[in-house]
Amino acid sequence: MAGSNAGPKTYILPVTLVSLVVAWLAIVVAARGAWLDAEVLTRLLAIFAVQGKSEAGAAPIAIALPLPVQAGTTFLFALGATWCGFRLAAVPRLLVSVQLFVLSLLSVVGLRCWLGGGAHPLAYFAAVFLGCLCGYGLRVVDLKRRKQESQHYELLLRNKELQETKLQLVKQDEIERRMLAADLHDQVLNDLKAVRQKLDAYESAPDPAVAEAIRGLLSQAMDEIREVMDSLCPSALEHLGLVAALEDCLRRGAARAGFKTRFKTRLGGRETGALSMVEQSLLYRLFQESVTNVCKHAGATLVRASVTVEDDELVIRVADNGRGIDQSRLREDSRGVRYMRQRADLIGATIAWRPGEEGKGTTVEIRLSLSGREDGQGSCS
Amino acid sequence: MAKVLVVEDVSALRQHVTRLLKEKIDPPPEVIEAANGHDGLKLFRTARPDMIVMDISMPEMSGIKAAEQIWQESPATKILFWSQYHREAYVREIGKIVPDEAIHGYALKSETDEKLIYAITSVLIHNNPYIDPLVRGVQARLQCKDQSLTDVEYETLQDVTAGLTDRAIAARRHISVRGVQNRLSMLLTKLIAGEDQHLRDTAGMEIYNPRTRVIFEALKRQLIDPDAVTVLDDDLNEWLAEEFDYEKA
Repeated sequence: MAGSNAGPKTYILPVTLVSLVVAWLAIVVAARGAWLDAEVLTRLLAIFAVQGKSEAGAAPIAIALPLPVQAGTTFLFALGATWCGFRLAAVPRLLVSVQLFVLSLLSVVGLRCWLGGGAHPLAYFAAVFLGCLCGYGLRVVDLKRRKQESQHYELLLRNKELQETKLQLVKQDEIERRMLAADLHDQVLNDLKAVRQKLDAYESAPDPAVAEAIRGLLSQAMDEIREVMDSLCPSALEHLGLVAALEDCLRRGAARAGFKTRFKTRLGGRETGALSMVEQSLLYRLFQESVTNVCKHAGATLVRASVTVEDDELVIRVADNGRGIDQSRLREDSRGVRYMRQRADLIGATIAWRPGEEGKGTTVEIRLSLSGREDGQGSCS
Repeated sequence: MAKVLVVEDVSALRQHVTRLLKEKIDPPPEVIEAANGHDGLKLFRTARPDMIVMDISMPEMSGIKAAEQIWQESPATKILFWSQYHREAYVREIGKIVPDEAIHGYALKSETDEKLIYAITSVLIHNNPYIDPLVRGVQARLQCKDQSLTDVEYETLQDVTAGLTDRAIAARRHISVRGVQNRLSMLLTKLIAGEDQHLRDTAGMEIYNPRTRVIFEALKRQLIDPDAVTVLDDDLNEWLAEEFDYEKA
């Protein structure tokens, strides 16, 4: 609407001014040219004056036009006014309605002069006024309907998006579950099978070396199960809180991929204690994913991570000095990136990737607003 | 008779530790038991044990939370954490809450009974902090074949050689200051066994600066390889950078 109103707005003001001038000129010319002699003018003015009727010698001019013409012209004014009320925004509406009033005045003058009659000018005015009002009422109703409609579509769209996100998350869960099953199968199950074989061997010929091997395999299996369990539910997060868990995650990444780390924070448990467990674990996952990406792709030698509060926002940064991320991949929303965004969306956090300082590596920045929280509401327990 | 409180939610494990304490520690301590951090805290207040063996993952109140509370009320309490978690993060976080006066330990459930007994004895009797080397990720010994020192003592020797203060060693190794002092005195006993005591009594004054003398003894016995101290320095610098963001120019 706003766009289509920009056109009319620009010419309506000059047109209104011109029409006012024309109306004034028309009356003057009519008066000069004896089309509107003094008597007619007095009579005309009497029409507008409420008391005019009762004043002697200034009786209203008799209506000489046929009724259909009167009704038709009145109707035309009403129609114009309705259109103006309905289609135009505030400022143009005011100007156009002024024009309509002027036009009705002109036509009263014209009709009286040339045809010797016409509808009562108050009828025209009433038509314009009521038309405007009516049009405006319609407009309000229409706007409401449109708004509802657009809200409806927006809702539909959002629902669809949500559905897609849900599907994505389910898919991702499925992938993770498969990886988990593979981990259990490839490592733990194989170790346990080996334990059984060794146990058979031990039964037939007890040998301390075999017993030692069995012990080794069992503790290996235990370690593997612990690793799998930890990827399912990070125990450090539960027992030590978010900040310590993040640091732990970074250090483990460093041990795997062989980069140096710098972990910086001035926060204790207080600030992050206000976060719910779901928020903490999603933040942890995002961080973990970022560290995993660094391990897999970056080839970095130093990774700096920090947890700070800036402007009432929790800010988690992971900066590596590796090869850097391909910006085009970010634009086209690769699956990993989209997935991380969706996860961040779930708790109202944002995640952004930037080229690192001095043009080296990548910086991942995760932000979550802390405002409107009460301390300790969902602290880990 | 010493009194030990065992806080562990799995009853089989709790009884196991109780039995170990009674059978393997000499003289056998009095043992009391609690099934979660909350009960442990209550029992601590009434019974005032000399030492606590504390599980970490428990319902109602985790071992770390309970320990924090206990240390707030009584900072010198000896607590040995007995945990299934291998992560260094645990030792680091516990190191942050341990008071200067406390002696504490961190033993792993996956390790043998002997190691648990060793940890208990170390903390309860020798006042020596024990942290399972698997968790600490002990640095490989620098070409030192002499086994007369334990891993922990060797680590302390390295820190002293690097010139660290008690506080710095405490921060770096995630133990209390008192724990560091006890470790140091163990080291002194081993390396200059009574020699300085004897001298002090004879001369009527301190003859040796113990820290310097320890390094001297270590060099003499080739516990420290002068060529390998650069590795010590590298490790130290890495820790400084990580902990304090301090990069050597």
